[in-house]
Order: sequence, then C-alpha cells, then structure tokens
Amino acid sequence: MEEVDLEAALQAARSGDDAAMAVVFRSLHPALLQYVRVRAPYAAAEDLVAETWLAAAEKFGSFSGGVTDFRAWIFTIAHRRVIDHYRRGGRRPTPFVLEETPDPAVPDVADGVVDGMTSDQAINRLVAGLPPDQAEVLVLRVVAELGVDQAATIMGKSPGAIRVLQHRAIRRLRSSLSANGELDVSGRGRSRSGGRRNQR
Amino acid sequence: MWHHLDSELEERLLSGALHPDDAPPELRHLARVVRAARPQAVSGSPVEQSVVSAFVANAPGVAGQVQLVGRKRMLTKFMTVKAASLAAGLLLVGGGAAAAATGSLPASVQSGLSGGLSHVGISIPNPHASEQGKAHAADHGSTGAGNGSTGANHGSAAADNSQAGSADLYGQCTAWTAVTKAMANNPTAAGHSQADFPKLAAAAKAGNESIAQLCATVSRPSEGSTTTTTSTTPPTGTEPTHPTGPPTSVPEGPPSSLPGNAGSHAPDSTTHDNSGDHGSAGSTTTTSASRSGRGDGSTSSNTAGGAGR
Repeated sequence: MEEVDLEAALQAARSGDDAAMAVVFRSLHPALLQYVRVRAPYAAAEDLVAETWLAAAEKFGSFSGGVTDFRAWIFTIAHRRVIDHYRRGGRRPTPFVLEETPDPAVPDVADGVVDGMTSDQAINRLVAGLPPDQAEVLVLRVVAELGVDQAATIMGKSPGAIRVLQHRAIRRLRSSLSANGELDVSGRGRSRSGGRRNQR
Repeated sequence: MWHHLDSELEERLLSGALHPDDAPPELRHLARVVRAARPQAVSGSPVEQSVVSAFVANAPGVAGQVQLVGRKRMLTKFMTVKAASLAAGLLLVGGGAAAAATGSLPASVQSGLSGGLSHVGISIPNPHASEQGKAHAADHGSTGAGNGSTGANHGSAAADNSQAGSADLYGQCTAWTAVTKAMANNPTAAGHSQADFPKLAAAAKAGNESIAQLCATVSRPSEGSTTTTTSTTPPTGTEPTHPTGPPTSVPEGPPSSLPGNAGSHAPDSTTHDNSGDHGSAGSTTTTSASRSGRGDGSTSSNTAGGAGR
C-alpha cells in the first residue's frame, strides 16, 4: 500500500472509520509480528502482538501524528511488551540461537536461491546469527520501515549508536552472504541453518 | 575487493531503494534479501476484528465528542436529561412517538418536545420553526434565509400526518435513541431496559437483531415521500450552518419585534438545526486543546503515552 493511502486511512480511522482502521491494521500487523518474533519466543509472539494492538487502542484517543509517528508508536509499545514478557518470566533475552535441525520450510542459505523467497524466509536470513541488538536494528529499519531516529527512540539508544549497529550488521551480512547467495563458511561462526531463532 | 560501505549506500540498502542490479556485487544478494523482507499487507488475522473495534471505540474523533459532552455546562446537562426523560415518557404513551415524529401532536406539546429533544441531537418537527426561521432571519440579515427555509421544511413535515401508522417504529426508535443518549451523558442515572420499549424489543427479536441495529435501518417517515419536494429534505444535515462570524451588515432602526420573542427562538433553532455541526467543530477544538500539552505529535510524546502500562 502506498504511504499516502495509509496516511489517509489513518486519518479516517481517527474519526472512527472501522474499514480504514482495518487497512491500517492489515498494513502494519505483519511487520509488527515479524518484529516481535525476532525478539521474543516464537510461540509467544502472537499474544504479545495482540496485547500491543489492544494497548495502542486504549491510547488511540490521545494519539496525534501521521503514519510515521503511528509506526514508531506501535513498535515502541511492542518493544516494551517484549521487555515486560521477559520481566514477568524473570528471564533475560538471549542471543539468537539457530536450531540444529533446519526448518524445512526455510531453505538453507547455501541453496543460493533468493528470488521467490517469502518475507519470513528473507527476515530469517537477515537476522540469522546476528547479535540481538543488530538484529533488532535491521528489523526496525527494514521490516518496520522506520528511520534511524525512530529506531533510536524505540531502542533507547542514540542515533549514532544505531548507525554503528546497522553498519556492523551489514558488514557481517556482506561477509556471510556472497554475491551468489552462497554461505561464506570462513565467516565468523555463522550456522548453515536458516531455521528459527529464539528457542529460549 | 569490497566497496566501501558509506552511510548513503547503507541507507539505500536498508530502505529498499537499492536495486540488486545497481548494487555492488558483494551486496547484490543482500539487496535482494532486504527487498524480499518487507512484509505485505495481509488480512484474516484472528485478532483483526477485535483490534479494529477497540481502535474505533477509542478513536480521537469519537472520544472528542464524548469529551465535549462531558464539558457542557451542568445546567445544560441536567436539562438534557430532564428533557429526554420527559420526552421519552410522553413518547411512550400510546402512539405518542409516531405523533411526535410526524408533528401531529398539539402545537404547544410538539414545540416543547422539539426543543427538548434538540438538546440531545434528536430532530422532530417544530410547528413554530417557520416563525423561528423568520425571526432568525430578521436577527441575522440575509444569512438567516437558510434557517427560514429550514423552518419551512419542518412546517411541511408537521403537516404530513398521513404516515403516522408507518412512523410508529420511527418514533419508538427516536425515543429509544434519546433515552440512550441521555443515559450515556449521565452515567449515574438509572439505565433503561428493553422492557421499556416492548414494541421495539419485539420487532428487534423478530428480526433477530438488537434494537440499535433495528433503529439504524429505520428511516424517517417523510423520506421517500413524493407528495412535495420540500418535505423530502431531512431537517438536519443539509441545511446551511449557523453563522458564527460577525454580521456583514448592522441593522438600523428600531427592532421589528420584541427582543424576548426573537431571543427565545434563537437557541432552539440553532441547537436543533446545527447541533451536529457545532458538535464536530467543538470536538475538534476540544481535542486539539487537550493535546496541546503533549506536544505536536512527536514520537516522543506519543511514546510516553504509549507504554500502555
């Protein structure tokens, strides 16, 4: 959906148009779900995203701004929901750990076929093996389509720190994914598996 | 030899603006992955309906209207509840609803009901509307002509009694809506039940729907009438709004009528005809004012309120 259409839909939703709100939801929900899946246990992601939406709905009356603000706002709520999730369980987020057994639904990186991959598969390839903060920056920038400043606000870091994180992530991905999609096995400890992370 | 990763190249890569064919060879594959990672809009989420309903219920526009109602003067609020209660009581007495809805009650009762219900946004014909329109026009110069024509519409609607039978449901719905709105404005008041509106409850049950759903489908009796062209125009929604700016000309000479007469008509006519316009305008103002303290929609201000904890 074009950004301008989403802007119009958000403004209509602000006046109580449920069809317009459905457009906004359908546009942002997949990205929100992917973001939470990268940061939280896969099984808990759906519930956390639902909590995020409902928490945002409660505050929607006081929200002001455009689509960009709304994106940042909803992802900020999701970020904090994930923190709450770990806080409730008395656990701390752990670095992404790839499954030993590759997910058959996710082709191995070494297969070398990129075109035709699903969004899930592409995100898996992006964040596989990255430290959590680098993975989160990439998801916020690529999947949530947020800017450096917004990602910095959400993650509680400075814009400069975000740029450093994304630069390191790109360098790491560049070294792990060669031009033809083959895995650089001499890389820094990346797995050949494209399976799910976050088996915490 | 790899290209230097400058910030511009990184931004183009992460935003998806870097086409794989234009990317340096070592970033070509990554550029494809980035472009494929952007999820597309999908429907069918199990939580979509509940989320959308929650957002709509808390939408700023809807919430703003509630805030505006809450900030009305207490006297107006009490008068609204009293007027609605009185109107609902009268309307429930054998056919009163239909009679009021079509303007066939005695002129004094009809006028009182019209004025009372106009405070809660319910429009029923007012036999004095035509005279009010004239007085209003005299007060506001040429801009009052629209209100005069509004009065004419009410007059013609009041004269149309032929649809009283079919208007019974409409009248019941009007009363039900009035009481519902009054109760919403006054949470401490005792609620009403479907037993207070047996006909509506029965009709809704027959159609396997709620009273609200039933009333949403009931149209004004005068709608669809082909007897006259003026009576098909609903009294609200299409009339020109009440002038809010200063008058374009200052009347000279002595007033043609007593101030008490014109003054007593003005609030009735204004509230009755343009309550929706005033409500929405007031809503916007109220909402904006309430947000002024939180900044201008910056991420940080929304973020602060968006923790949801």
